[in-house]
Amino acid sequence: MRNLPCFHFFKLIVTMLFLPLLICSQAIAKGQLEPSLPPGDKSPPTVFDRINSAGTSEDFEEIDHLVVYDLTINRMKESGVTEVDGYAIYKILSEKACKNMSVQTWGYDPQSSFVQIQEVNIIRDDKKIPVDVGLIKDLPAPQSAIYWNNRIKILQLPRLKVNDGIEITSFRKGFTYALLTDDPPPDENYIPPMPGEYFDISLFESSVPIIEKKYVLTVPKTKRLHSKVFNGTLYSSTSYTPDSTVYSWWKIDVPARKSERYQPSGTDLMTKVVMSTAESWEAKSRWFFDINEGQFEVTDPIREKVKQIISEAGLKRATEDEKAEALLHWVAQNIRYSGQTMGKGEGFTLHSGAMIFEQRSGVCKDIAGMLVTMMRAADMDSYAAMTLAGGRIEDLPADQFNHCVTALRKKDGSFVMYDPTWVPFYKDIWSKLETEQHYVIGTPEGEDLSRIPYSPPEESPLFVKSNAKIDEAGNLECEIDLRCDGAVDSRLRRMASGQKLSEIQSYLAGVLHPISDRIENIEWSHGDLYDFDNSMWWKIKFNVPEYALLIEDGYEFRSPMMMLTMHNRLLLRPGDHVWDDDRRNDVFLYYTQQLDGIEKIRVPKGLQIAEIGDVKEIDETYAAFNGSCEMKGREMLIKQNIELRRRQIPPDGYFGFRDAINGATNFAETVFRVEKRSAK
Amino acid sequence: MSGSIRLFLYGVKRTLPVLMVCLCLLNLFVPQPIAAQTSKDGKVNIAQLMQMADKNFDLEVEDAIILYDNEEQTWLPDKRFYTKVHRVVWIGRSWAIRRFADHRIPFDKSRQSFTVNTLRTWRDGQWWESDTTAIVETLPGALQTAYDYTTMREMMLLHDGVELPCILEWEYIIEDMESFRKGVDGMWIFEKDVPVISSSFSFGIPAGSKPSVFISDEVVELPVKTKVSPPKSSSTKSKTKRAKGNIRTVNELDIYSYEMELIQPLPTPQSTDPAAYAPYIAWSTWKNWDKLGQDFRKTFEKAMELDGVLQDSLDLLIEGAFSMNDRAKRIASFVERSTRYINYPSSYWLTVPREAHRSYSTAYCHQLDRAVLAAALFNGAGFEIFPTFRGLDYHDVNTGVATFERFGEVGVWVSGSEEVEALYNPLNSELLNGLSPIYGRSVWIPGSGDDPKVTWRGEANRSTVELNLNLTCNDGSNELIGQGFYRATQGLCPFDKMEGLGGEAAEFLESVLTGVIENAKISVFSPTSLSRFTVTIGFEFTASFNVNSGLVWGESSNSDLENDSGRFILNIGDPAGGVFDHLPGDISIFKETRESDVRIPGLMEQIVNITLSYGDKELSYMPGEIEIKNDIGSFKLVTEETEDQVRISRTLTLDKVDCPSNMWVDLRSILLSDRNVRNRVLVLK
Repeated sequence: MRNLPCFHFFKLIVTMLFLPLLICSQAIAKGQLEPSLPPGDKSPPTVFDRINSAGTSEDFEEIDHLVVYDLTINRMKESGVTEVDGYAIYKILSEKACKNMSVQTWGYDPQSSFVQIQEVNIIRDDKKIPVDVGLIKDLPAPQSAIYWNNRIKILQLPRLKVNDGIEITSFRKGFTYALLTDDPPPDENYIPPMPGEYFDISLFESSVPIIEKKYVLTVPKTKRLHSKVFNGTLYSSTSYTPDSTVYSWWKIDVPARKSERYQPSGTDLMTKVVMSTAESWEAKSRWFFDINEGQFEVTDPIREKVKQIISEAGLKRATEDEKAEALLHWVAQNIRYSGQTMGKGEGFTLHSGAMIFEQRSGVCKDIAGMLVTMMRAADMDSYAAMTLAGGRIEDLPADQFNHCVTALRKKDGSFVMYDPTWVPFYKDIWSKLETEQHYVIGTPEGEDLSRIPYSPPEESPLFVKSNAKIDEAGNLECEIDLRCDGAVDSRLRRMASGQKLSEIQSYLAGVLHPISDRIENIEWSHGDLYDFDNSMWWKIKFNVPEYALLIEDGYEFRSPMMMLTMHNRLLLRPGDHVWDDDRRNDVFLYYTQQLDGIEKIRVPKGLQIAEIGDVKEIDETYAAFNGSCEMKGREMLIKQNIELRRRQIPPDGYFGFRDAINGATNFAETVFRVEKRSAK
Repeated sequence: MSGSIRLFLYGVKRTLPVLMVCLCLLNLFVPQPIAAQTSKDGKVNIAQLMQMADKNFDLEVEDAIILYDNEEQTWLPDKRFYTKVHRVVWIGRSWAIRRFADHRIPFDKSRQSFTVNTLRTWRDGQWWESDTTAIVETLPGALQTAYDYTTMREMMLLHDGVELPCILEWEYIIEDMESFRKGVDGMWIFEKDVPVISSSFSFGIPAGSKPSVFISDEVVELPVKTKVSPPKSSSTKSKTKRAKGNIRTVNELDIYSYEMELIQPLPTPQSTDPAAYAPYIAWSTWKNWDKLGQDFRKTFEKAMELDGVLQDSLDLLIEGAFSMNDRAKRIASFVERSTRYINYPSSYWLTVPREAHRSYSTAYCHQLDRAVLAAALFNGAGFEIFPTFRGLDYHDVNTGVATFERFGEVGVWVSGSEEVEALYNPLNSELLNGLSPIYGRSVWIPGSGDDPKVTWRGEANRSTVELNLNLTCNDGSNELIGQGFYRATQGLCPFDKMEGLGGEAAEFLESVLTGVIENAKISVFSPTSLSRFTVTIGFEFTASFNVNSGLVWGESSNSDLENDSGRFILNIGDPAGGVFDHLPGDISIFKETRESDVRIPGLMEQIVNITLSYGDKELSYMPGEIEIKNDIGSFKLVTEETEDQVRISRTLTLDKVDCPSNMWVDLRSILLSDRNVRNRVLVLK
């Protein structure tokens, strides 16, 4: 029989001894107590610490969730294959985020990368709720126009609550992005296109706030790395081990970057680090040449087609440029943008000319490759080139490309650039929407980074002539003549090529709708869609009954021409938009433009124009506007001149740009009055 | 006849046979003309169809012509559904490449197989077969964050070798792998967005069964083929149906076939329900609406499962609710806050809605699942609920054939006490407590025993909105004060927008008024009637004249160029919730011509009466009197000027609900008259 009092005493002693230890160990587990640390020092934060200290919805106005921590550890191997450990923590701040974050997805290209989601937990209060990653589905990705059999992994999370955290641990391998099933496949599948080389761009901003983000790259000691931080500052460190060099970049408390309409690609604006082990642009150029050189074999059918195209265009004795242009337009019009996969090598290898000639479809690289092949069939010295459409390539030899084009080497060694993907229904050989764009041509010798020159507004003009008549009853007869060049050519062609032939009348009614709902008797003619020697033009005639309002002894009306030009993005890209007072990001318009409009409005006899306020001429660095209105006999003469001088406008040039566009808008909204009295 | 001519004729006579032989030989080496072609299965003479196209349509101006358009739908004896689609299309313009060169075809991979029989292009005298890489399985973009719905796929069929002009042929089969339906229904519209030369549709059902069918007059009905063997199954082995307690099997089909030739394109603008004016077939294995409705309702109600979490949430949600109406609105708001709307047709899941608690826990729903979730919560809160379908357009869709085809997505009718008789629309999780959601539309409540019908159109009495405003302007200022009276009835009654415990009534009333006078502010209002049939409210308000000439045109203007001419402008617009807000979405009044008919929800009238006492100001412009009356309706403007007062009465009346395309000009003229600035502006100085 036990001595009960002794037993209880013993229990008490044991309890007194071990309870504090138990509490302490639990507290340590929760990160509440830090043993053996000097006062004020803290142990590394746990996931609970990070989520608790990240803040709540009260700290972040109109923010639904946060990136609490984003850690990426990249380990490059000699082969260039890179393994990536990812660790991310998000915090839910609103009910909206409970909905929007309820399903997590990871996209990847199985040809080039492997993705494994190792662990997902919901962090709720002081608990980790594990999510069964065995329920991840591996599915074909949504695809449109590019059908390379990309895939996504998708995981349903349990119902989230506000202030929950989501913790995700992942592993990736490859050279694009993605990853993981159970056992990573061997490295051979993921050797990058440039074997032994590494490149990446890591953005340190997002549409939501980031509390902390860190990017670590371990490079074998035999490799050398170019790296540079753009669009802001980052903390960084470099260290080494016996086998490698370790680079780190990080940033804390990064506010959300809200996107604005007409802004350039986020990579042009956000703080980023660009890195590459490639030696130089020349090395990149040689690699691109070597990897694709076998794709341009000229087959008999291609040779025959080239002869046919040149012959039918009457260019047998023409210059190389003329023949090249004929081939360009054939490719642009006949190889539609719809890309199938070629399996291994897809994404960076151009499909063979023979394949594309048969399929009559492909993505930009295949369309460019088709032109390279056809040019070679015509004995031209052509090459494929890489560029970044709509963005800026930083001067660091990394894969910052999203587009492929064609280069023709001339006898003097210079190159002429052609882009068949961007010129369907466009008379130029290179789209004016791609000016000031960087590119690298793939040649055996190796080329440096080059840039398409600036295109001034006068290279992309829109000339508008409007002849109108207002009769005694206020009815309007109007004929508008649109002529153009450069970037605007593609816009005017699109007005015809974008519609069913039977629906052009209906389309034009919509185009003219800003002038009046009462548009009648629309008649039109336009240039030949397939005539690339001449610029596109339109003539549009229409009537509007009861257009002018008779008030006392005068007629009041707006300019039909300006109502048209300022309410149609094809005619003036920034016109039909309300520009905010302030702006954080650059404005990106793709092309410069000049708009010269002249309108004659014949009014009933004996009327003079009433005074309008002074039209303020605005001549700013990035845009300009001028307008005028005067009476010449029985005709009102309205002039509208607008210049968009750069395709990209920095924030410090925004106000001038905005003033010019607002000036043009205000003038377009003017209600003109002609009345039976002498002009003021 | 001269000697030389005789010599020439002699030469011709001698060489003619040789020339003929040469021409024949030459013909052998010329690429085969389209005339030599048939479809891959050899059953369709493409050459002949192309000749018909050339003869009956101008290939120079057509973007594309569907030469052969065929669909076979079969309800197999083992209750699996089988669909075969076969098309041959000539394309001639770039628009047609975008329309026809790449096809995106949805199917449910977990329950259906997809087989491509033909995918090829006729160009340069030969067929170009598409490679296997041209058949790509994709996930619908709208479902990429909807884990439970990711069994859906969109199969891309990409034509190789497309160059204008060319001919595309494709054929595919979608077949249920296992039986999961109790019945099927379908519809086929013969007109397409481009001309069709030969269109045929057939459906097969187990031999001896009686289908329910509707056939438009223009459609040619072919003799029924009886006791036909089912198509060879590409998926699971076909199982034969065993009748209860009977070993007899039905293994053959009766095939019903229909065709049309030389079909013009669908008129534009296309409305949401082309069957309202285009020839079509509707068919169903459901005996009547009630059978289909009972089955749907049973499935729907079975899914209305609340678990403990959702029940607790509901209890908390309705705790302290002031009224049944308040309860219903809280539930609608809760569903909106707690689930993402997945914008993808929920018709693919009609037989398998998710249980309500699953929708809540996953935090997303398509329309059907959101309807189920909301219905479960409404039901749990003491409401009666009825899943409800509304016709796509404003007309009767009941042809006696029970089919979902002419309805939009499902909603929920919610009924509780006298306060709530509302339609819940899952799209925006909105509760519409009144008549406007059913105004002019066919309504079907599955399982109610009723067939679909247009329940509320107001043929006997026009729906009316009337706004009377008395305005007085202060001498020497541009300020206006006024009293008003607003009345709206029946289909135009805004009860659903005005009822509520918050500021709903004031907010809507102000939108009515600001539609007419841009800057008006209501100071006081008092309803005398607020019911589902009539709203009548008196109110007082303030406003001001505009001095900006741009406002003559009724548009806001930022122009700093306007002359300060000392003018005072009043532009009298349209009340919110009036006639213009109830016109079908396919009406564009700026389009002078229109090919398709217009269906209007009901007979409507909009009256705006303004009396303005303008004190010491002088009237510069007031509209002249005008009256337009035609077969569709009328517009009448009456004006009267007294010493320092002007009265304007503007009445827009629509007297017909069906407006054939040839009467669009009449409808447009009265709508334009109401919108014409000449008929709505007052200018004083």
